[in-house]
Amino acid sequence: MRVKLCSLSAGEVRRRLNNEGLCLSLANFDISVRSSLPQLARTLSLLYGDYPLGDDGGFVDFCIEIDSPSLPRRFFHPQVNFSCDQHFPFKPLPIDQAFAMFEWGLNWVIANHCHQFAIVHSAVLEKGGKGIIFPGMPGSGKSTLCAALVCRGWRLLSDEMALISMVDHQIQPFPRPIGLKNNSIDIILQFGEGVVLGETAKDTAKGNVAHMRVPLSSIEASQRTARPFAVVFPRYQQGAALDLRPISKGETMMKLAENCFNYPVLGADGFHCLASVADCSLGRSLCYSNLDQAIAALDTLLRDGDT
Amino acid sequence: MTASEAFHIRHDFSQRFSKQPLDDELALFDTLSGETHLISSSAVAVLDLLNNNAKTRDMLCQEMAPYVAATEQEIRAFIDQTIDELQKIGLLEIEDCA
Repeated sequence: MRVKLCSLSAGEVRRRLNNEGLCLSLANFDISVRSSLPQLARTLSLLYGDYPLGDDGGFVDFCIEIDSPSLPRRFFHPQVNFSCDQHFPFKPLPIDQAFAMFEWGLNWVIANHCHQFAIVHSAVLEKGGKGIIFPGMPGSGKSTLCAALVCRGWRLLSDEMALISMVDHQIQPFPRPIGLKNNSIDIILQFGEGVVLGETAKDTAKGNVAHMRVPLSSIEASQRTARPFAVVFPRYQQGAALDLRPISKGETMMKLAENCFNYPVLGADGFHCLASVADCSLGRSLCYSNLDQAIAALDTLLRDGDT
Repeated sequence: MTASEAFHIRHDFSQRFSKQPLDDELALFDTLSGETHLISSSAVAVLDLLNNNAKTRDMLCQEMAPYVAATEQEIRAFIDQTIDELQKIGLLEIEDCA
């Protein structure tokens, strides 16, 4: 049994972040995080408390640092920088976006390095052994629906990216805090019981952003892959009647390819992987305005979809 | 497009393109350009007609006619549009039979 982050004192978390790095074991990735920012230590402890720690001195997949770019920037309009293995892919952001930057940066790291997977920009949830991939552009309501499904007991594999194995086309879990934006923050607070959110980062490039803690059950199941059962393209539209309708396997394939971060890197192997997923899955478009109705329709899809 | 032009599937089709039938459509991956294309079921039917044989536009129209409920003019417009679409993807080559 591996030690969890929540078993460390706040002081020990800060000490590790400031020194050798805090090693988190996130599904199949061990990530070392270094930072001198107390607010990052607090939010990591709150939202990653149930995750196991990596082995001391063990292999680390990625070394991430989140810190102020220079001493003056700690005091004047303080900013924060993200680096991975000494590489700085982004411009600095205001310091109150430190945790959001950690999340966005980690997404970038995985999408740009882990080509053993076809990585599709999507949420992935599972129930009863059936995985649903929810690709969606920003603003489609993907994360809100994802958080709502989690509140109703679905297992979270990812809020942001489907990691589809190039070998067996199963989905590798990578459950991490769910990024909620703007109105979705209050909607999910009211929708679910016991929802835990980190601090809201205001006025980011995506508006106000807060991250929701992942249920323990999803973290504990993060070694269990899921088979793709359906690919559902969600679209939130205020006041719209629920509309869940089939789309062709061909359209499903093309949309998967459009949303696949590393499709250009994977070449024909990526094509065959995504075509296989499209061929074996039910393709659906989902227009919704009411979360309970959308969840009921998805439950029905899981129950009756393959009959 | 002239009456004497005949179309055939490019000779290196199977080397250049990876393909995956998806129900009655066909997904193609162009290994040279990295582009992915979706061929509609009706365009797949035209490709099937061209399998191993070069055919003119008139020949394609005649062979398609028994399978569709459409006027000659509509079939001709469909064949022209489909050939244009398949040529843009790089699936067809032209030879002049004159």
